[in-house]
Amino acid sequence: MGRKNTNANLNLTPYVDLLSTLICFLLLTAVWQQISVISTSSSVSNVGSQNSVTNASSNLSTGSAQEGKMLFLVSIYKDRIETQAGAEAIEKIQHHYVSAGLAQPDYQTLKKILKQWKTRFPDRKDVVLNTDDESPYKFLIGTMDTLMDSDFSDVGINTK
Amino acid sequence: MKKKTIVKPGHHLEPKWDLKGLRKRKNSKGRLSVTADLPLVSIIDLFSILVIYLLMNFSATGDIFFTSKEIHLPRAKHATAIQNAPLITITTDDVRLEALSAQSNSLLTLSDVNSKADPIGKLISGLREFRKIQEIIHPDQVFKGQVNIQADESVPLVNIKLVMRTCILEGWTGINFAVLEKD
Repeated sequence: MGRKNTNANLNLTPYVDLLSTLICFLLLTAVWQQISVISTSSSVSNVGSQNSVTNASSNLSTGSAQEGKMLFLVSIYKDRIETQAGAEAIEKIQHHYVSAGLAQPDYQTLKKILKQWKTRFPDRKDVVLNTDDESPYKFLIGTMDTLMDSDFSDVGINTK
Repeated sequence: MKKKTIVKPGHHLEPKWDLKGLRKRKNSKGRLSVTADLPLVSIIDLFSILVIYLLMNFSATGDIFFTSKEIHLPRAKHATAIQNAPLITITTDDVRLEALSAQSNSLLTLSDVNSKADPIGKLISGLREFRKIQEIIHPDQVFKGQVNIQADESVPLVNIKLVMRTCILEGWTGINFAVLEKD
C-alpha cells in the first residue's frame, strides 16, 4: 500500500517570471546619479559688464544705503573669503585660507560668522555672494551650501 | 556465410549519443521521473535581493539629463529635486544648450550653440528660441524662466557668471545649479 506524499509543490515559475520582468524594468529606469539643484535668487543678483568685485561691493553698498537696509555680503577670492555686514562695512572680516594651509575656503569659519549674523538678525535670509573670476565653480557651490546650512536661503549671486 | 544486410535499428543512429539513463527512466514503471527538478529557491532569493536594491535606487523623476563623464559635478547638502528645464552645460571651452521637448519627450539640442565660435552669441539665440517654444506650448502660463546649469567643479567662475548674466538678460532668471547630493 503506497503512501501519499504530504509535501505540496509550489509552482514558482510565475514568481520567477514576475521578478525577471521587474528586474528588467528597474534596470532600464535606474538612476545611478542622483542629480539635484541649488537655486539662486535672481532678485538680488546684479547684472553688469564690469569684472571687479570691488565695484560690485561699492554698488551694493550704495544700493543698500538708499534702501536703508543692511546688506550681507560674502566675497570669495582665490586665496581668501571676505564677509561684510552693512553698507558702511561695519563688520568686515577677511580669512586667508591659502595662507592658513587650506586648499579651499574654510566653511567652518564662515559658518561661525553667519551664526553671529543670524543671532543679530534672525529674520534675514538674504545674502549677496560676490566672486572673483579665477575661483573654481566648486567654491561657489560650497559657499552657497554653507549659507543655506546657516539658514540664509535667499542667496543672490553678483554676476559682475 | 552470408552477411546480414538488414539489422534491427537501435535507439539512436549514433549509439554513442544514446541517452541510456534517460531511456531507462522513461521505460521504468514506477518511481523514476524523466523531468529533473531545478531548485528555484536560490534564484528567487537572488532576484528578490536585486529587486529590493533596484527599488531603493529608483527615482520617479528619472534621469532628466545626461551628464558627461568628463563633468564632475560639485556636491552639496542643501539641494532640491531637479525640475525639467533647459540645461546649459559649461566646460572650460564650450557652452551647450539643450532641452527636452515638452510634446515628444525627446531631446532637442541646439547645435548652433555647440559651435565654439561665439558660444555666448549662440546661447542668446538659443535661449530666445526656447523661450518662444515655451510661450507657444503654454500660452496661458506666465514665463517662469527656469534654467538648469551644470558645470565641472573646476570651471573658473568667470565662465559661470558670463552665462548667468546672459540668462538673466534674456529673462531666464530662475537659475539652478546642478549638484550631486552630499551624504
